[in-house]
Amino acid sequence: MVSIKLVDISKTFGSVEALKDVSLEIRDGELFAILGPSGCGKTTLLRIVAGLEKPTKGRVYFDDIDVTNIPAEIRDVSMVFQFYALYPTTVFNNIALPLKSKGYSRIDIEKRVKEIAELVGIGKALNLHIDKLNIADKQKVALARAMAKEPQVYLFDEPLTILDPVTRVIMRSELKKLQHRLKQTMIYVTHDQIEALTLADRIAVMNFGVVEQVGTSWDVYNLPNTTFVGWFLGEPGMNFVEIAVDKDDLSINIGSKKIFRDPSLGKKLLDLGLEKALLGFRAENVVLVKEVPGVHDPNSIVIDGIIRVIEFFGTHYVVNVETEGSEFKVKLSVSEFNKLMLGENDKVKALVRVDKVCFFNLDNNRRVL
Amino acid sequence: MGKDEYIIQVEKIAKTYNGRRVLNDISFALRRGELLAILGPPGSGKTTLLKIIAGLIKQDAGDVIINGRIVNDLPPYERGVSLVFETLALYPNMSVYENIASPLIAEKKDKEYIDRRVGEISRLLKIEHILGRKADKLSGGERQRVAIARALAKEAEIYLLDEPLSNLDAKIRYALRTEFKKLKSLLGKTIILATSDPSDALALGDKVMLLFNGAVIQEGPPIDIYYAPRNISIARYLTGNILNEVSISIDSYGKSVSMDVGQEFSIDPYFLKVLREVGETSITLASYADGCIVDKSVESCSGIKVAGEFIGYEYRGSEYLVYARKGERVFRSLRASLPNVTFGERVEVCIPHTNALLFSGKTGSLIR
Repeated sequence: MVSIKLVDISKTFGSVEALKDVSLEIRDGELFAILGPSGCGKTTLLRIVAGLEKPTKGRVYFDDIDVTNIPAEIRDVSMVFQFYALYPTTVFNNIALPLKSKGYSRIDIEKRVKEIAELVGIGKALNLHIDKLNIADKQKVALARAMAKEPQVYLFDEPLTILDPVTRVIMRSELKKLQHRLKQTMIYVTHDQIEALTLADRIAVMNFGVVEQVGTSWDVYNLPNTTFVGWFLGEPGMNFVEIAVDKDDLSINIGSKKIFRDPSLGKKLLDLGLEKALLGFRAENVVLVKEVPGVHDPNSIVIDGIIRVIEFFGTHYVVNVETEGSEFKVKLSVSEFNKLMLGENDKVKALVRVDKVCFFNLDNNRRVL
Repeated sequence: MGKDEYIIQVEKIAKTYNGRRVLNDISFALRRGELLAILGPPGSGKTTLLKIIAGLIKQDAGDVIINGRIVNDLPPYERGVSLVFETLALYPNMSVYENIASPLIAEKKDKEYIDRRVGEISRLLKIEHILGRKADKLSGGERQRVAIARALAKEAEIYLLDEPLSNLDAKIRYALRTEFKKLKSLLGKTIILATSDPSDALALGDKVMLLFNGAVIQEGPPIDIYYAPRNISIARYLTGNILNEVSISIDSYGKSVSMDVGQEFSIDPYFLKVLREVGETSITLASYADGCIVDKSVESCSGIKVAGEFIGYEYRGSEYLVYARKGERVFRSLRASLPNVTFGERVEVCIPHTNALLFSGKTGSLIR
């Protein structure tokens, strides 16, 4: 049972600042994902937790015990990389190895290996040579071996990237099942947003050595703390359009166009000292219509625009709408798209419900509403 | 329609290397401003075809006709065609100007020409104001425009782009695709783009031409390719080989019906009607992920229903892609929420007949 605390971790390699004042708390028993583009510092952070790398500054705690200076071998963590490094022998021997070095008796080893193999679903393959296994089963062996070390913490560094999509889905489910049974702390580093969103109890989204947000999948997707998180998550990423508050009637405007007449939002922004802001919304939360009767829905912002580009993706369409020099994307199912009979250069109105929009400070790109 | 309306026609191009036919009677025609996406797996002959059009390789048979004139014997530089191999990744340490100019410098164009051409293209793409900036100091949108400007720097009527979006980060790729499509209509240039990624071809192409093993197996607008793939291998390719499929067979007496995914099933009479109508002993029903339902139970399925096992899902923020398995067969369903089941539990898979593509069991070709 381990919770992990990272306090003000910085790491520099020469003149490169790989991590800048990273503080995180990983709860006991949670599957915690660290997500970010390549070069964001996520692997360095994992290696610092493992003890394979020393932070330039800051402390690492396992259950309030400062382990910053404790070497990797005695930190009681098991690191699983791309699950490939198996020994060319039987499944049994591969799993038994860490137990042997822990000094277990032969009978105990046999019992424990069987237990673990059952748990990861390779109980029937114990006597097979690992060359006889498919990739997914090999990865299960690697996972079983990591478990045989009986670590307090599991660390995963993009272990599934080499797999085909179906095997990857199955392995994710296996990992999730395992976590529910073991109830042990797991940290999982990935650049793949679907992997993080699918697997994690909570996600830390990183960029340029900084943690931009920590939250559940729902939080980071729907309420991004920064424009980076909004842009990085989702395909397409979040739309951002610059808006201004009219100080007289408190309406919200894009350029010369009023998009929201109700004063409620404008007042909130002015109270925050913001006359201008970035409006953020997701492409799938936009309702597109060709004509709207002259009513002003107090629950939706309404943006007039012109369709510039239509992209077909098979299961859906993405329509790019231009308004006052800004652009945003709208994701439509094929049936919605067909119903609207949209074409490039068509005039449309985009409706987004007020509870589906965010506002960001233009100066620091942080969410304010 | 007169032939001279086409800016480029390719007629019955064939090419053999070391006794192996790499291109087999390839024909197509494009109008000015159209974008043709040549879609096919690596090794299907895409690059060879582009090189033949550019004049870098000589075909064994067939004609390349540009603006109504056969150009088979013209050298590359007289064809009005520009072949771009590199991906749209920029040289980070070079300025925007240098990035755009690089293909022209490689061709040893004089300074005056390069200045004029870079000015022209950057005006068109609205990046004149950043010509002096280093590429790694650009915003995402600026970077994309510069990349496209470089790809189109050489003056040509027809641009041939070989895998322009490969090796790019997924986010950049997504944005670049949109930008590319937008600018294409602005520039009015004819583009032939080779890709092995179905999303690129569907999203970008005015027309898509599928090239498998050196032969054109289908050509048409993206929607036609997607909703009426001529045979099942095309549908599989478009889904990265995770197509929802079930085969139904009927015995020679036309009575007993069986399915290749086991006995626990229900079949809408519609499919049996089709089977009898087309006079085949077996047909394969297929659907894409958005045309398949996976749930704990599907009460009324007007299609084909299979019992499977829930093996996992992908959460994409806006939707879930739910995976089920029956034996070796995998089914995917795009849903707004997760079914109320745990991993390994029984689920029902339904392919409604309104969403199903029907293929001949014998030949794999599309029936309806």
